[in-house]
Amino acid sequence: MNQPSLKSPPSVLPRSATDLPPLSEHEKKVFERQIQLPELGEEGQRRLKAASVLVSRVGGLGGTVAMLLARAGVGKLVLAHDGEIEHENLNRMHLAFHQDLGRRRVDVFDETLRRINPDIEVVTEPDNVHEGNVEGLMRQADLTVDGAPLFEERYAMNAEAVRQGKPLVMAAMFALEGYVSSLRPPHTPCLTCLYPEQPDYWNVKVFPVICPSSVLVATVAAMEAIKYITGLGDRLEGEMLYFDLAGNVFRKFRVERRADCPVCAAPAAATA
Amino acid sequence: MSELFERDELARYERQIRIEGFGQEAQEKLKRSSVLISRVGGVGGTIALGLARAGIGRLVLAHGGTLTHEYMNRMLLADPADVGRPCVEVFVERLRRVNPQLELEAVAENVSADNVQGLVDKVDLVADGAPLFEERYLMNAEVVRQGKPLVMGAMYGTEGYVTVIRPGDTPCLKCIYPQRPDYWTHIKVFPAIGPSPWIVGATATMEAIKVLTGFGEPLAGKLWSFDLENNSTRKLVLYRDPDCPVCGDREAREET
Repeated sequence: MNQPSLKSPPSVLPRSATDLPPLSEHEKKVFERQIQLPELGEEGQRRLKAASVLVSRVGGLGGTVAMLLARAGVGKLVLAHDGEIEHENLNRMHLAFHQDLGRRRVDVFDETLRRINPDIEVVTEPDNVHEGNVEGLMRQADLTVDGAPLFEERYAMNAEAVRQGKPLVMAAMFALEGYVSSLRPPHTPCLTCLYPEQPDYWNVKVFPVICPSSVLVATVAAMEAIKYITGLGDRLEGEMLYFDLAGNVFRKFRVERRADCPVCAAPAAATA
Repeated sequence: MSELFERDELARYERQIRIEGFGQEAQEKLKRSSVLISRVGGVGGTIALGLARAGIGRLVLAHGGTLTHEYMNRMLLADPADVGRPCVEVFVERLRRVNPQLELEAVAENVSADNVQGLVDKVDLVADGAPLFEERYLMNAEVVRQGKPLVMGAMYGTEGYVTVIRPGDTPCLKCIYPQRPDYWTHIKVFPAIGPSPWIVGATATMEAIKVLTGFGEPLAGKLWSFDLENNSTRKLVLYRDPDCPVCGDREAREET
């Protein structure tokens, strides 16, 4: 299939520099070190402040993404995650602490994120993403970081991101391995191009995880979101980063669209 | 089992005990281990947090000064409400919330010629996240003297570097950098966006876990580098300098 150029314009978000909110004196101090990055600068920081990101789920992977985006100065986070904090969450969920055991997860995440960045806007949904809520959740955000463990949730977010024409950063992990790719059809494949069907090996409900691998995946994914928002650097578009921290193996694979993809091929054909 | 773990403590590590080749044995080794972290900033703070979540038994932290606003974009152990407080006091408070069973010791100063021997003496492994070569060289020389492993993590802008030093088996920091590089002389305030120290911190955390538990393959004698700008990675093989003034005469000394 004809792939439009992988090189994309600086920020893919339709937001002109004149619409960006100003930074307060406090924000200028907090973000001083990153404003020093020439590719980011004050305009990039204002783009982060104007931006909104949907993160689901908000566990070892997504919760770390949310924490990192709050530290970096993203203005608004939309979080979807069901359930309450359990013991076995605490080896990797950086937004939750021992004292939070038994509390509703999204309430704990919201509280911790506001401590990190008192100016942040947090919208919470005490449920995982599903067909019924995905449209409304995604409408509230410029882009999505997908850290869901189940393919059903991932497919729902992927299809909706294609419908709304919004970028989706796909991030996944298992034990010491991690995967990240930035999806923005028609410039890249969508998740259904990569996995037309849920792989058989993924009948996993309780997967093994140790926090360095989830932090690593989350960090790369958060950086992809920052790149979409600010235009900094080269994104993982048309590429998938794979790593295995057990032996520090890192690979980048080229990934391609499927001409007959039932999710992303049709709309592209219609507009052609 | 055990007096080693309190009631419900193992439940926290259920998901990582499931990792093939890790198991309860590695968890017990971690619980019996101790790590010195200096400094405890973007890199070191991420290591401290990661090791606390993973179930390390004891941490010794060395970091001077009080918290300022500009730490907040990358220091995971402090929030804006903590600005103005002594750094280590805040870090200890936060780490206790993360892991109530963790033993903690902290000195409110950076590593120096006066304190380095005593600090390294307290632990099994050193995690070096210091921004200055003076501090790095001191820790390097001391781990060579005491024969203890050191995980080095460093970053600049969007770049990161990690290696594991095992005195006698791998090059030491002085083999890799015989002199402080010129380009590093005038840097006191370096550009930093959170993801780069975190990626270094996450990798260094796993290296410390590997060295302490025997799980996986550590970056011993290999320098791993990452550039988040384009997600490029490299692994360079490093060689010992037989004439290294710090570690080069070690075998000769042992023979006499």
